Amino acid sequence: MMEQDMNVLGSVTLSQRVAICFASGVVGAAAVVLFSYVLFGLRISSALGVKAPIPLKSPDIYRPLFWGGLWGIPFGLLIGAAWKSLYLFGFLYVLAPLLALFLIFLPLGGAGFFGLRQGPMFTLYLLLVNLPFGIITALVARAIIGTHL
Amino acid sequence: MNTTKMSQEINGDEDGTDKQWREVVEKDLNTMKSVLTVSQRAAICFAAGVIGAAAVVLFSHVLFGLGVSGTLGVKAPVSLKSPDIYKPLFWGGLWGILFGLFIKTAWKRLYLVGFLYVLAPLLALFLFFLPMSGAGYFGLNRGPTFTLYLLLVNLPFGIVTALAARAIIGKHP
Repeated sequence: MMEQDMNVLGSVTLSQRVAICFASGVVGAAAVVLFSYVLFGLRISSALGVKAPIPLKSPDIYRPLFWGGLWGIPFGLLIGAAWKSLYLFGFLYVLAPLLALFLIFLPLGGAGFFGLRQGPMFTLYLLLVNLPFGIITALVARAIIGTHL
Repeated sequence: MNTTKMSQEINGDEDGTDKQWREVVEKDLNTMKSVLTVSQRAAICFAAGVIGAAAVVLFSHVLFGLGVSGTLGVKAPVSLKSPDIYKPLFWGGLWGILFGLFIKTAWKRLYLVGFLYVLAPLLALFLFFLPMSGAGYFGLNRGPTFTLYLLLVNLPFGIVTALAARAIIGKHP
């Protein structure tokens, strides 16, 4: 009973979770940016037909970071339900922004569904480069929130 | 008889212990109530800072709409286009992190501290970023009205950040 009470009082509210996961999402996105440089350094990007990593120049760099934060918001809304399998959920959560990218943003940008107008390798690259997003977001959220939600 | 007495004593002890225990727990829980860690406060204030920066962007459009920007020699509000819009919002978040580090200390005068907190990014702008971009200290190479505009347009940042942080954090930091 006492432990239960303490968990409730020590817990973070929904709006606090959302705010924390917004910040975590930014860190998750920063991991994606960093990973694009790792893939570039290892020449995996060029093997998949991508000639440059995500630009670090201002103001371009702020866009992926901010969008990472925005994707952190729904993650924060769901984190309570996913707490017990947080890292699995986090790892799979990358599918949410990826699906939006594949089905909305890339077709709107003229690259077609799944970016297939630029070839299947480009789709594979996008899948690969975004992989760290969900798991890093989850790890950071967990580090900030602590053991009890 | 003895057994009953003993039982009563035990019950009495249990009641007393229970009461004391409850008092201790209540006291502990009051102390613990909604106590956020520094990293939680910093993360929350990052989000609050983004909202504060969004208020500045919005306010620049209000000032533009009212013709105040034009009077002060500024021809356009903060751009809403991508990717330009993300930069002020992100920097608002970064300044929010700093705010989050001392929000607990400032909690009793949060709105006053919040209102004055705009001076931190403004000083960085006036003494670092503007000189670096060639606009001179306080942006005075572009005239004193430009400095006045920057002061005015950034005014909502601290107070909106504080309000958003308070709304998210609740009564206890």
